[in-house]
Amino acid sequence: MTGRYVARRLLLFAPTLLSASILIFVLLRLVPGDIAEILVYQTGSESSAVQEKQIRQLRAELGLDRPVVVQYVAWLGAAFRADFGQSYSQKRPVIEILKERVPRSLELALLTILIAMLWAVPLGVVSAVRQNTWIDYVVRVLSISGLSLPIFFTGVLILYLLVRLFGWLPPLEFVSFTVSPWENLKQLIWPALAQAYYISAPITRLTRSQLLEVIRQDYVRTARAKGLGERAIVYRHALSNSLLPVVTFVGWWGGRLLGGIVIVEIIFSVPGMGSALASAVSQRDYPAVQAMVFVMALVFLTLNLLVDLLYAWLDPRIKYA
Amino acid sequence: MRALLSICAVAIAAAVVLAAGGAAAQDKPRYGGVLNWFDYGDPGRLDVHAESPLVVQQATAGVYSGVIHYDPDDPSKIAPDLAERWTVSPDGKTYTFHLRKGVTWHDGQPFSAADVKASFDRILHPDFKSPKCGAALKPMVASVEVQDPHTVQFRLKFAAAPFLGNLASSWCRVAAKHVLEKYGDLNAPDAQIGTGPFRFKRYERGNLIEWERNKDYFVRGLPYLDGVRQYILVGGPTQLAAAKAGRVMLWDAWPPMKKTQADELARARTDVDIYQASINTIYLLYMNTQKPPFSNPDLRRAVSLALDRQELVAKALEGAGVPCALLDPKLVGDFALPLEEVQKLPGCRQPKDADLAEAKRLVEKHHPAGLEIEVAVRTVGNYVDRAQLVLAQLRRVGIRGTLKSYESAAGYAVFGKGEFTMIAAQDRSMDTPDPESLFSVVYSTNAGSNYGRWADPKVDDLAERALRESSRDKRKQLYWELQRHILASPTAAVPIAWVEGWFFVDKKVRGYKPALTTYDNNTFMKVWLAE
Repeated sequence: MTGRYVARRLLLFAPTLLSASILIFVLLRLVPGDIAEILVYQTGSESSAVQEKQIRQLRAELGLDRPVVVQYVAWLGAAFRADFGQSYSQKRPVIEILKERVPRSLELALLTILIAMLWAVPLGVVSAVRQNTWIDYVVRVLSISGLSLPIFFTGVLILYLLVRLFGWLPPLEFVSFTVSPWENLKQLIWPALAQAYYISAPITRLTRSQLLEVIRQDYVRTARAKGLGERAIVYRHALSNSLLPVVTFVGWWGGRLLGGIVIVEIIFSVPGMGSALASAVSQRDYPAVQAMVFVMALVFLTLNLLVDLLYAWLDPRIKYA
Repeated sequence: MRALLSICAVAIAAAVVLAAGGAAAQDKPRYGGVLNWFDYGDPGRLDVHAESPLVVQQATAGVYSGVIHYDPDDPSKIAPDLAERWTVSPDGKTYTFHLRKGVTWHDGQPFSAADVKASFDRILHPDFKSPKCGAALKPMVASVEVQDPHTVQFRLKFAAAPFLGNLASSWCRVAAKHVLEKYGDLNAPDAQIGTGPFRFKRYERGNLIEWERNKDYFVRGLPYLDGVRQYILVGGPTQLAAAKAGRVMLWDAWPPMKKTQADELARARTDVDIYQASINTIYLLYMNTQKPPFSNPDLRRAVSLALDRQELVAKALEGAGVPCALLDPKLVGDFALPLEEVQKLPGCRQPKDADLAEAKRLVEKHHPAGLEIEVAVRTVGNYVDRAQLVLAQLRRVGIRGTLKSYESAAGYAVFGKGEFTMIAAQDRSMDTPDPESLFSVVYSTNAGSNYGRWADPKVDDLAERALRESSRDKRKQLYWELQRHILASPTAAVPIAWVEGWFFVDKKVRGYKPALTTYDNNTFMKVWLAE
């Protein structure tokens, strides 16, 4: 791993994050309706003259009457001190929301990746080793269906089947892992399964195709010629080399998972960052949305950075041209 | 034979007595147990004076008391709550409330008239945004004065007929003066200190709200429940799954179940009573009177004539609704124009041949080649499906609409600013069960939900006179005249129907009576769980 590559990769991190923050800030303000208008108009009980006065008051109170650039600079300055402002919709510091919700979503994301890896990689290996047999066909059908079914459908299907077949539903009350790991898993395993089914499909397919490519390499043929057993060839030599792109893919997906977690959190009633984000967006809670999307961007970029560094470490041929 | 008949008679009587005894034992309230139900969203803020979403009301209802409230045994009546009784001055402008003695807040502080004054001074302050209680009381209440620690007086600007009904609303709760001084508002969970039947136990944001029994509740022997647990279940499939799995005992508020969901629940559970009820919400179609083409009254009339309300109720509301009515007799009794009369009016009458011909003639008169319009709709519930039906009905008279959908919150901002031509579907809940609510929020010129900016001096005049009329009969006549006038006018807000839906109560839940608005009677003070 060259020092130049690492330095360049690290240097790119800061401007990318800054660009993401500008994008978040601007895009959010392009969405029609601000919180003042929404709060006043959706109630629609007071007279029109009172409504106009209230909108002006609310905008001034929340600092929305200042130019967007001024708002952004103020926000960025405070964000450096981990002060993301006050949530409009919850009337409490956004940092409290992040501290409360981010660990839950990260736990769900980790559990999802763990489950996906546990079944997707072995299935990919079996599918490659038994290429064009009935096992391969079954695995490929499962993979394609995993990719085809949207997460909300799989989630609702899991809920429906649990109630229909067992008259049972995962706990509605969230219990953190530190309080009761078992209760925590009873709730989180189902959304994790719904997501894992979706992301395991590309992992299986990637593992399969990579392994098929590697087992045709010269060094594998040499290993066979030396009389090494098939199991040792696949697991000791071929698999470790074919998993490199899989590592990249999983890292990339890990970042994406935080963004895609909204739907499963709502379906399975998990009070994580996804459900908080959905609620904040619908109420145009700018400080909360900005902070949550910023955290998602930060996690995504950090994971990408780690994957790139890991990749360079695993494969010394990697470097910037 | 006679002996046999006598034996049979005795046996039947014994069975009846035993059954009655059993029923009586079952009907005797039982202490204990926790009632589980759900909120459709996370309230976030908890200030009952300052907020308007139903979830805020649900989250805090049992924690607070009002000066008066809707009777939990008969929610159509007003009953004392923190006030033991009240008197009204002969001119109807001063209400004196005599408050209970010995009431304490959940933190042990004594309750007094100063708390009532502090709460209503806050709600009535001109710069305080109080979209429910404030919006209802500000137009009519001049001041609130403390007479002595247990007597408080509300002085009105005029003798307002709906005053007691508005004051009884669950949004007009009394908060502690010392809590308001300490926290500044009622948003924080720690600030949830009331005098109600339940104490606010915990709020796990996005997940759970829990109350526990207030052992010092001022009504002796109440509440029966040890607590109430409200799960925050945002998605429809999750709510239905929780109901089917028996995790919630009650579905009564918003959103109601659809017919298909109710049928699914009936197949999954036999221990529930499923019923159809009103949600005190009117389904409206708006046209913007401030810009073409609907600045032309002829075209507004054409749209009203073209709409087949009965078809919309049958298809879009699965038959659960009262079509055409401007006021729903089930909710406001005889203040509503008789449905037999409403159903004969142009626009509502069936068959629609004459109305469609007239609508077509009006459209052709102004737009011989037909009319192209943009139709706005918020993407919530089944609004888009309803909008498609509206477009199909309008096509019959030469109006071709293109749908423009808005995310829920963005839609409100667009509608509030009047940046639309037509809104195909918009439901509006009534804040109080008084008929005044509809006119002050939708049809008066300055009404907050008069999105179409329709101005009719006669409507304003009749609504104002009805508001100030103390004789019930005269008030009824004024509301009838007002309804007839609006139903015959090219209004901006066409009443399609009063919406109903399906709900359920677990058979174990006793003593629960749904109120006339979704906001009231959610305290569960008299609810108990059978074994």
